[in-house]
Amino acid sequence: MIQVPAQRLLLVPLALWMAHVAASFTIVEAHCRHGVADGQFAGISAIRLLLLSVTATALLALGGNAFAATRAWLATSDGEGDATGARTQLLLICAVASSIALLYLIWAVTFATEARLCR
Amino acid sequence: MALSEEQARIGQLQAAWARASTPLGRLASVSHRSVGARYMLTSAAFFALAGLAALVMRVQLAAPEQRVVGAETYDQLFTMHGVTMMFLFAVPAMQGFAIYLVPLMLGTRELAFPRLNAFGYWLYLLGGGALWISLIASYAPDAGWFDYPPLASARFSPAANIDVYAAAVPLVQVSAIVAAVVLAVTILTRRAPGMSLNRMPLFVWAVLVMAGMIVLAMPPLILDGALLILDRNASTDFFNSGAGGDPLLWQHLFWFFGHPEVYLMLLPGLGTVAMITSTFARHPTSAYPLVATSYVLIGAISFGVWAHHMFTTGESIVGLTIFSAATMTVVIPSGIHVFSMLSTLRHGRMRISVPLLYALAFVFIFIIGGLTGIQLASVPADWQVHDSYFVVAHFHYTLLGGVVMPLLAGTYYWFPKFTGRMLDDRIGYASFALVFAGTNLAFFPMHLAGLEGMPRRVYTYPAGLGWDHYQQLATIGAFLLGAGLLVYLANLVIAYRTGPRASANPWAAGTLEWLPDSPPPDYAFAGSPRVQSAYPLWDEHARPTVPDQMYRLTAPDRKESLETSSLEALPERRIPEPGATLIPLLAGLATAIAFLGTIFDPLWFLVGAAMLAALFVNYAWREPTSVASETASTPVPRSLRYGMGGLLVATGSLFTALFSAYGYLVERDAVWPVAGLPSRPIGLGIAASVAFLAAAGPLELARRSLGASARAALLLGVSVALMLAGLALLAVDAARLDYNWASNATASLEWALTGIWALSALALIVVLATAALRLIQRVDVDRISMLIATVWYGRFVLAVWVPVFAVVYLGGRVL
Repeated sequence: MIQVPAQRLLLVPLALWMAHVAASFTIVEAHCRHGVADGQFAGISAIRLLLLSVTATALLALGGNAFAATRAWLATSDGEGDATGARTQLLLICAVASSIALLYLIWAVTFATEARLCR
Repeated sequence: MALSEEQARIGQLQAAWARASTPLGRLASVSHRSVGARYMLTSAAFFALAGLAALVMRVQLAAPEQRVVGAETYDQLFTMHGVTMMFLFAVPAMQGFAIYLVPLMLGTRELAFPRLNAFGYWLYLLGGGALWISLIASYAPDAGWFDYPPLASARFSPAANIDVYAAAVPLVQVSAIVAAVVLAVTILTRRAPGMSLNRMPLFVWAVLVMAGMIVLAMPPLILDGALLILDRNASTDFFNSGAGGDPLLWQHLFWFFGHPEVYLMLLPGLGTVAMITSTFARHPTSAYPLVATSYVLIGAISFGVWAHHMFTTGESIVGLTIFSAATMTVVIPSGIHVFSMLSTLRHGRMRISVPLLYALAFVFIFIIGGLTGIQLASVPADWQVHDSYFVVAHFHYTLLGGVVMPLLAGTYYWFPKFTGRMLDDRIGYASFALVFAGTNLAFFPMHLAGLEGMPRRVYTYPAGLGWDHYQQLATIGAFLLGAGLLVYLANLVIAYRTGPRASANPWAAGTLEWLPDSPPPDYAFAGSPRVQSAYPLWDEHARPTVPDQMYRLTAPDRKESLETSSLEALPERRIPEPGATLIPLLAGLATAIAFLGTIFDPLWFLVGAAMLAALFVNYAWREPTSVASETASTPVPRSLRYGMGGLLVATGSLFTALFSAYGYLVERDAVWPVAGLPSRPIGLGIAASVAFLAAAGPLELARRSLGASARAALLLGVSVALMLAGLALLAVDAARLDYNWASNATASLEWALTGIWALSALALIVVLATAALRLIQRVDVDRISMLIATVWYGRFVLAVWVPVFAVVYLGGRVL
């Protein structure tokens, strides 16, 4: 049986979502308020690239989490090593929570590429 | 075992768990059944009052140019109707059901933290009572249930009406948070052995998700109320756009709470109808794991949709798109629930009954509300009907369907368990017909009135605009609905007095609340039931109805509960339960003084807080030690760890909301700090930070020195002294500043951050000082556990100082 700490898998989407929001906000504020990367060499494209990098990193981490949760869920759903089924239930919730956070990050790609960053 | 032995054991249990029947004894009772009944009856009374307010409004609107009430009274009526239904009825009623039923469903005798639970009820009663007394005095809130500034600001609403809202509503929210923590900890630590997470009744799943949502969502509203009352009574500028604030900040904080509020009211309703459907289909709920997951999903998504209430406030197109899309995704988990319910009925042997009819009415009415919800999630459609009667129709369909129908179903279903009496089905069918017809007649025409352009919150309207007939129909429907509810109430009263006796399990249901007699004895269960499925009473070979199927893991001669592990519900330790006490009532009064006193002066908050601290110290000093911790496998009881976790999450949510408010205003204002606020001197801030950092050291050392009580007490004393020194430095720093909280929004936020953090630090100081005194007095396992939990709170408070310092002292320099 694959031993994955299900409670941790559940916290990862929340932690990544909060970290992504905080990082994106900081990058946008640094650009719009303090003029970071507003020159010709490194301009708005550089900021968008940075936002995309942060989002891609979060996507990778969250994708890994979703994969781990789903794999563990599939492994336990046949009852192996989970006599009561409680772990299977928790892993299903982990997988779904990760998927919801993935949806947010996919939207964040649109934000990073299309949205007007500064007022 | 001999029968006489079993009878003697039952006798001991009854003596240990008996509830007093004297008036004072009832007042002091902290039993989950007493408190749950109080919540249910009080919320029903508020529901009746709000319903009467609605009928007066319907009479007023039945014809054009009516003069039954004036504009000002009408404003107070619709505001109190909304405030009552949202804050004083729906959530407390659901929590009342949960407080009464969850322990029975889990196969345990009591909730975790019974005194805290009783305390929560008194807050609710005092907050709700203050709101309705204000209506009698013509000072009721009158700016809508969401109380938007600038209308709610002192400039446009100078009378005390809004202060009542800003003081009383947060008090009720604190009550909801208290109940949520109690329920969540109970569900995670008190389940009968064998009731693993996936064997919990769906109602319990729904309550667990609801509790998590309350802990996260309600602190921002408490903060919102505090900021508003400071704006009104202490001249701060959080919502004053002329000084760098922003009225939309209120809306963001309010709706970050407000939309999860809708779903958290809905979730226990979903759980209720799922259980009723399963019982009357004689079939386990179809796709149980998916349904439980859908509840979690509904809770998670609900935090990402708040701005769909703000589509007309000028947000960016990208923002509108995401909130529109997120709103529509709620359809998926809601659909899972509805299809599961229909599948359960399809695969079972359906017995038509009054509770099932209400459950089916839920499907019909909730789907109509859901469909108009999808229409409103579309931005162009929302722009057309925003603030019209279409929206009124939508949310009444959602809430009547999602909350009222399940509550009526649940009351009918569990009434035999509450009272030991059966309701009259003929009266039940008649009341259902009236309620169902009245609901649709009252609210469906409102869709059409809204599409014809009728705005909401108008106290009258001219003839000839095409709205008259819709309003007449709605009024007739409202009275029909009221008549149906009266018949329902009559059925309850008649059955309570003369109804036929109910057996332990009159509906042949499968969950544990139907195991004990109806009503259950005070000790509820003779032992801890063995659970091997989600429907233990339907198990052919392992039905826990006989004594041999019960674990006897707690002593019969004293009040004890069994604590079990979170995932698998394995027995872990015995937990002593407290007896009746008036301390929750007194603490509730002190807290009410702290909140409601701010209507007159914000400093009353400090008076109430000081009274609460005095009560706490007195209580902690007298608290007797327990005898039942010797089976502990972990140093700190799981319930204490989770309870402290709940407190930290709620406090963290409040601080996160405050930091987000800061970030929001920084982002909105072109210049920050606003209006060239002078740079804040940093020297004393650094000195205070050093003191706070130094306070963390002895705190940690004290935790490691618990075996030596005198040394631990000394270390705690040092930590308290350092924290007091740090706070004194902050006070000196504040006194030296060239500006105060009323200078502009930046200054207001700086003062709010340091002030709220200082209040947390003062609370920590009181707790640490009390812990030090208790260590000198006597050391035992329970006190050490409490101290460890206190140290966790201390770590949290001191850690939060870091971002507070960064924002207050460095924010102006960096931004």
